[in-house]
Amino acid sequence: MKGIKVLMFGLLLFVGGCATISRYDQYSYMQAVNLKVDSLKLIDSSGEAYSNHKPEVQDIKVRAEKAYEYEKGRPKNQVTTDMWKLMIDPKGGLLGGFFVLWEESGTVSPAFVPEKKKQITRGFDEIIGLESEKIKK
Amino acid sequence: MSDIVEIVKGIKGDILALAQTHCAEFVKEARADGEAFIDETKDDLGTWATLMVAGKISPKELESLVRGKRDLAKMTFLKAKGLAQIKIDRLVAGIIDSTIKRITG
Repeated sequence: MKGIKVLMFGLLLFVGGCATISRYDQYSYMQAVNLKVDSLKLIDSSGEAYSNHKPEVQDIKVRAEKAYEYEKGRPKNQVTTDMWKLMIDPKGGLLGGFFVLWEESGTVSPAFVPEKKKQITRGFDEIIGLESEKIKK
Repeated sequence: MSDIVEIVKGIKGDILALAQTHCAEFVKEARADGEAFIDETKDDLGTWATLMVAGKISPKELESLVRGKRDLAKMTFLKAKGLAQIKIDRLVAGIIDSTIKRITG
């Protein structure tokens, strides 16, 4: 009986170590929240010429790239990595694509800004929402 | 030997109870999210088409919004996938807890 209990404990430890998704990461969470706030603030200025905001756009782009690379390096973190990939894709319709459109157009229409802001907010909320649901260590 | 049979029987019951709770919740949430997304998309497309016809947004901006909607659909799917994985991990953790309790009695 004792031997079987030891075997079951060993099995439990093995199964317990086989998580399917990464655990909650405070740095990931904070990084996403900070980028959300800073990006949305910058989008508010997109009615103005892109050239006036180029350094801020570059800063957000680099930070978002770093966030993506950080997520890519975490084990069992494919889902969050894919979400960041969509967020920064220059050919997509979220943050990366928005910056390209702003740069190419010079400015964007006032009616477009709140609509795009809603989408980018939602994208960040999905990333943040998933991270906050992950199991805490 | 009868102890082990009892432990296994108990664990089986715990697993079924945990699985039922986690899966039923997940299916309900995923269905509600999907339906809400479809309704939202219909409304958004109508709003954007009106804005473009009125000249308030450019065709390129409309295209960007449609692409954004497509990407958000993928995001929603990915989040649902991640949440399902989290539920599986929670289920496994629950099974481990209840098994340890049954073994240590």
